[in-house]
Amino acid sequence: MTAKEVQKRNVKSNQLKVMLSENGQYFVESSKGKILYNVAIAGDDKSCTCGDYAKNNKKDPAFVCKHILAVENSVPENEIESAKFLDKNTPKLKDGFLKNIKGKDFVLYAGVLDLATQKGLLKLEVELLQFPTKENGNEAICAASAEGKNGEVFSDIGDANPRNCTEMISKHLIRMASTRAKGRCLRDMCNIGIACLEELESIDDVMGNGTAKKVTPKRTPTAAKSKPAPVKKEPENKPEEKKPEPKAEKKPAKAPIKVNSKDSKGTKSKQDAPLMSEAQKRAIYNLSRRRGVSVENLENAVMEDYGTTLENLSSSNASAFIRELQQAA
Amino acid sequence: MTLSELRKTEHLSASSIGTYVECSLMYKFSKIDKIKMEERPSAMEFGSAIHITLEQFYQEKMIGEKLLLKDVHEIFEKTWKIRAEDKTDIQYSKDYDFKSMLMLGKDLLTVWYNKLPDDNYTILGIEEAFSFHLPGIPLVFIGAMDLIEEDEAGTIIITDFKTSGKAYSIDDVDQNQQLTLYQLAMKSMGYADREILLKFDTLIKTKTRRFEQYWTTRSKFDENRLIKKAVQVWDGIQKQVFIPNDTSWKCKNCSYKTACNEWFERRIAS
Repeated sequence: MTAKEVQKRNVKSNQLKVMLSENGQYFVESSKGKILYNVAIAGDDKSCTCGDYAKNNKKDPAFVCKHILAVENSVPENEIESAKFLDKNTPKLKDGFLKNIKGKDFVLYAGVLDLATQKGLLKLEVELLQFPTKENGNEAICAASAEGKNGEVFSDIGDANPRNCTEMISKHLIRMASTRAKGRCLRDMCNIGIACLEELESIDDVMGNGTAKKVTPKRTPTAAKSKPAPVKKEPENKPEEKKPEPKAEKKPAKAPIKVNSKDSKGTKSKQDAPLMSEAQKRAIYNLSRRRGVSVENLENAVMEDYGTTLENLSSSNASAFIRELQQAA
Repeated sequence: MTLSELRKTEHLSASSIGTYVECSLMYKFSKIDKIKMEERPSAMEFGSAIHITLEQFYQEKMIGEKLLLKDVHEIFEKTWKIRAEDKTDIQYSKDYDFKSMLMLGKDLLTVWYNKLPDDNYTILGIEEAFSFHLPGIPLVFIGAMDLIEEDEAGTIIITDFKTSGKAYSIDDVDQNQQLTLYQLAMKSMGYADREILLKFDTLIKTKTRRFEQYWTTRSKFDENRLIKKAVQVWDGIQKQVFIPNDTSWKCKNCSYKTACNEWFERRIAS
């Protein structure tokens, strides 16, 4: 092992966290903080469970990886944290899935699904009981049933209509009824007494005001902003011979934007981050479809990365997510 | 200014960059020597006819009207007849002739019409010509964007109409430099602070006719990559570096075959 290699690893080792367990073993966190490597030092005998050590120790018995160096460098500096061994994983609702809004706790659907999966969810089925029509007030009703690993079965129903959904969600009533039914069913299975956030019409249900729910009314016509270009009647003209209205000289002001009050990530204030636009939404669905990402996986990815549902993704996060999807070729 | 007016000045475009990279000798024949193509491929004429038809559709949409499918068919038929009927310089591939391509166009437009998603985007421009400079290149870049729309949140959507023999791959879409140039053009036109989305509306001539929308975006890195490439191409053009790419699969159907052979003969003789 050359001095240069030692120097390189020494520099890297400075950033690593070293822990000492109760039974005297050293553990060093990986540089990304995702796993721990077990380092054993007994006199001149040193070893580490990392790949770098395994690969190089065969060729050079004197090889030391950055984790060993981290331990060696930390001992005199007293930079060792004491660690304790944890019990094996028990099913647990992760904190990120709990939302406290004005003192009331809510759980996200993704959270109950995660917990149910940890508990051994075997089967989750949904049946559409009522299709939304004008006659039934556009109300969709779904029934869900879940089966656990020990054969226990839970079932419940969920409804969605334009009166108990936001304007945006009201375009997806069947899906929302399905999510609500599944959420209620899985809450029973996981013994969770608090309501799912998705069961609410909007955050206004909790906050008691009407500021967050309403979105800017849609513009109805698709007509041009300024004087439209003349309608061409003769198709024999070549495309380059047409003269479209030059729109770019004046920089148009941005159209009114929808506001997101639920987004939990992003640099802007939660209260005024603009919601994902229709075009961004189409781009997301289009990109995910072409990459074979199911709607369910898409929703989960958004929840995992941005802590919110796809429908409530902010414009800036949607933009980042589009890039992410594009790179996931 | 229209695209045909812009073309009168010395310029570069997304397609000229692509042509130079693919076969710089072909670039020389078409853009510098301005040699007329020996034959016009039917696919090119067909694409133009579809293009004009879609353009008419959006011209009507822009003023709040929606053309019926039969009107769309009529526009296409009229356009195709003007461009291709009794034209001897059109080179058809073995499976097609004037009539079968007329049917193909109608089939494709039917699929497109039925699959085109409803939206309430505002149309900002149709066949919008642009002209702007890229850093390090004295010539202007010109082109025309088929369709520019804006959604209610102010997102700009730039669409390019395409006809294709096959579905596009992810790379076909994500690495297309024409769309990158459109984004740069849009930014130069004062929309740099907007979210810009790009898409191809593609009519696919597979046995089962298809219509696909391919959405994509471009990052700053993609923009810079195109700029660097364009600068290199410009450098090659200035230094008159024109290398024939005579191993390309496209050589077989190249419209400059005679010019290319003559070029080789002259070089061998000298």
